Formats: sequence, structure tokens, C-alpha cells
Amino acid sequence: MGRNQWKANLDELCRSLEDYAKTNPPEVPGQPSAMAAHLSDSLYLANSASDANFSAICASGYLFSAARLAPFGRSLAPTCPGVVLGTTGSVFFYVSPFRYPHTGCGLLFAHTLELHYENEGVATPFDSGALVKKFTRRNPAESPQEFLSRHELPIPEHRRYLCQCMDALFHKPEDYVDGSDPRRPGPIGLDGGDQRRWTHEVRVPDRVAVRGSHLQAVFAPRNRVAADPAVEDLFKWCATEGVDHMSFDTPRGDDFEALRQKCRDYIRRKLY
Amino acid sequence: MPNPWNVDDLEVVGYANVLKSDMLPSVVPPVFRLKSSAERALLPPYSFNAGFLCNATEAPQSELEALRDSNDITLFDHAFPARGGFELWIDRAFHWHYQPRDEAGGELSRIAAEAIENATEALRQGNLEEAERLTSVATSANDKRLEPLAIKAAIRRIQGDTAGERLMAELAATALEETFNLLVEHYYGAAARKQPTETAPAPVPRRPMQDVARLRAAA
Repeated sequence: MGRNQWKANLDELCRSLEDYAKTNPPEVPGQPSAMAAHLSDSLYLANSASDANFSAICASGYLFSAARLAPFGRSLAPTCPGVVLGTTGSVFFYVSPFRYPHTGCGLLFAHTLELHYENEGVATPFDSGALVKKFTRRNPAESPQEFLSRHELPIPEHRRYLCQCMDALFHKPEDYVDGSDPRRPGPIGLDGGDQRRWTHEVRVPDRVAVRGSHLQAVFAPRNRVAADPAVEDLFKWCATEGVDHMSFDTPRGDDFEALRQKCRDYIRRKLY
Repeated sequence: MPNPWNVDDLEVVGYANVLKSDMLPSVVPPVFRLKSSAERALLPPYSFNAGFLCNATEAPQSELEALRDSNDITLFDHAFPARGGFELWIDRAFHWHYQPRDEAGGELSRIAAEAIENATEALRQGNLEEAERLTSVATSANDKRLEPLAIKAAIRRIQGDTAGERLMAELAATALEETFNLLVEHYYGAAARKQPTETAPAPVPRRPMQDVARLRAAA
């Protein structure tokens, strides 16, 4: 499947959202709100990792797909979502603050990264991996693979649907960023799970260079920056290149909560 | 919202991070499972409230194994009972410790102090590699101490690495700011408790680290 099908999926999804809004008042205004337009255009792409994985990313200078890492000992069980859905060759991002739990360090990339991968990258209006084990589809007869392919959208055009969702489904567009559940579920037909049920995901093939013009900001606990030479080197590179780099305290080892909070504060400061 | 779980009904099966040896010792968030049903695990992010674990994400055992295989979490060979008010931390030999929070804090502070002392001595003897290794131990054990960052900045200056020296200064500034904010909260809380109807007094400039050690000891 390629961009033409993804564009058709996008048109279909936008139409179904308009229909949904008509039958579930209040109806959405014809023009997007200024905040929805701004946030959906400019939201960053987030990728976070455990401390050991982040150290390896800093040392290699790349985010690698699971398939790329498999020969180096990262196992790919037949039941893991990437294998079931055929997405192990991709590098994953959320179009939001960091939302993958059990992680303590992360990278934000500018939305311009999507233009770089326009032809081969793809988006979904939910976390694809969670389709397999976390979410419930309202039509269980449809396989996760079929459901996924029906919802694959072109990048960066998927942000048009994101913009519509921010106005039509959420109390206010900022709720999408803050992780507050939408007031209306929308037309997609997924239940269960968490915020990742409605968070846009972007997948690009194979690998993404970290030290590049698209890197927006780097986040790591202060003790990791101070103690890990690979992380220290990336932070030094960021300082030299004028890329934002954020270190933070991790009270009681709760790295993910600290990471999430720091990232939300950063996005508010930059985009609100 | 998921139900809160009584911590007494849980076991610790691992922690939600994967660490390398140069990241140790380190406090880590436990991964729990129900004593009554080993198939049901509870993952962070979560919070504790009066002996209950709140807002944890429930996952089946198979998901834990997948997370372990993708290097996202670490699982222990054997589970052990969870306790309210306890802290899980991993020592430099990758052994786990599960202690009352104040005991764990005291132990980590002691490791940090010892590592700082040894790093200072190694630096004095010109052994930069050992001094750097020990600063990593100290900062991993207690990321609020400024001395490991200062020692590392001195090492970077000796190496002619000005970017590295500047980065350590930056890290120290964030540590100081966080400590300062904690102090403000501490004093504000004390004042608010004593005079609930009066406005808190304006902050008075003081030496930046004054009372930090006492506050840490009391925490």
C-alpha cells in the first residue's frame, strides 16, 4: 500500500469525523480554531527509551527499527505486535509528549522530519502496537492487520485529521497535548487502553539519525547525563548546535513521570 | 480509573528500567504482580497513597516478558513481597535492595559521600579515569550533590574540554535550582502551618546551599 491509498484513507476518515460531529452535537465549526491549527501543524515527534537503550542510541547516533536491532540480540517474538502487524522495520514516534511508559529519556524531533520521509513514512491516529493487545475493536471480525491498513494515513497530511479531532472531540485542543481524554470518542471505534488510543503515531522506515537538523530537544535525568559518556556527548553536541537539552531530577526513580512532566512543560513553553 | 491495590497484596517482580553498570547504584520503580494471581502485573507510572498503589497499568505476564525482551524493563529471577514505604534500589553489583525509604536514602547518601571522597583522592593523585568513574557512582547514588559535578568539571578542564566543563556547570545549575525550590517549599510549608491566615514572608537571600544538608537529613 502506498501514498494514494493512505490519502484515500485520510479523506474517508475526515469525512467520517464530519459525519460523526453532525450526529453528535455540538457540530464542529467550518474553520479550525487557531490553537488546533497551530498545535496540529507544529507538534513534535516523540521517541523515548529506557536508560540502557537511550545510552545505545546516543552512542550509535541512530534510532534503529526493531528489525535492525534483532541480529544484535533484541529478540522478536512471533506474538509481539510489531511481528503480528509487520511493522518491525519501522522507527516509531508519537505526535505528542512522551507517552510510552517504562522510559526515562527521550528525543523530540521537529514536525519537519515528516517532510523528509514523506514518501515512505506513514501515520495512524492511534498507537498501532496497542491494537494487538490493549485496544478493543468494535468489529472483532476484522483482523488487526486489516484495521491498521484502513487507518494508515500519509505524512504530514495526517495532521489535517489531527486538527479536526482537536476541535471536534476534545474539550479544547490543549487537552490532546496534556493527555486528557476526549469528551467524545470519535468515529474510529476503539475502546480500552490509555491515551495512546487517540495519540497519532508516525512510523518511518529503518533508522533515523539523531544528530541532524530535525532534532528539536533531548531529555534525560541529570544523573544519566553526568554519568554516561554517550549521553554527555549528545548533550555537548546539542549545546554546540543550539539544540534544546533538558536534564531533570528523578525523585524516587520515577523517571517516566519526571520525563513526561518535563516534556509537557517544554511543549507548553514552546508552542502555547 | 483503575482500582487502587493494597501493597500488602503485591509482590515485586522487577523494575521498570534497564541499567548499565555505569548507571549504578540507582533507585528504580518496582514492577509488581498480584500475590493471588501471578499472571496479573502492575506497571508504572503509578503513585502510592496510604499503603495503596494507585493508577498502575495492569499487564499480563506475557507483556512483561515482551518488555524485558525489548530492553524496556528488568525482571528478577524470583519475586518477593512488596511493602508500603519501601524503596527499591540496585547496587553496583546489580543486586537489588528493598528497604524502608529513609534507610535506602541513608545508604545511598553514604555511598555518594564515600565515592566523592575517593574521587577527590583519585583526582589529587592524577588518576582522572578513576576519579571520573567514582563521580558517576556518586551522582547515580545522589543526584542532588554538587561535588561530583564539580569534580567532573575539573576533569573536563584538565582535558581541555570546555564544552564538557560548561555542561557540568549547567547540570549543577539545574540541581541547585531544584534544591532551592525544595527549600522554598519546605520553609513555605512550615510558615503556612504556623500562620495559616497570614501571607508568607518574602524570601530572604541566603547562602545558596545553607541548610541543604540538614534538610536532606530530615527528609
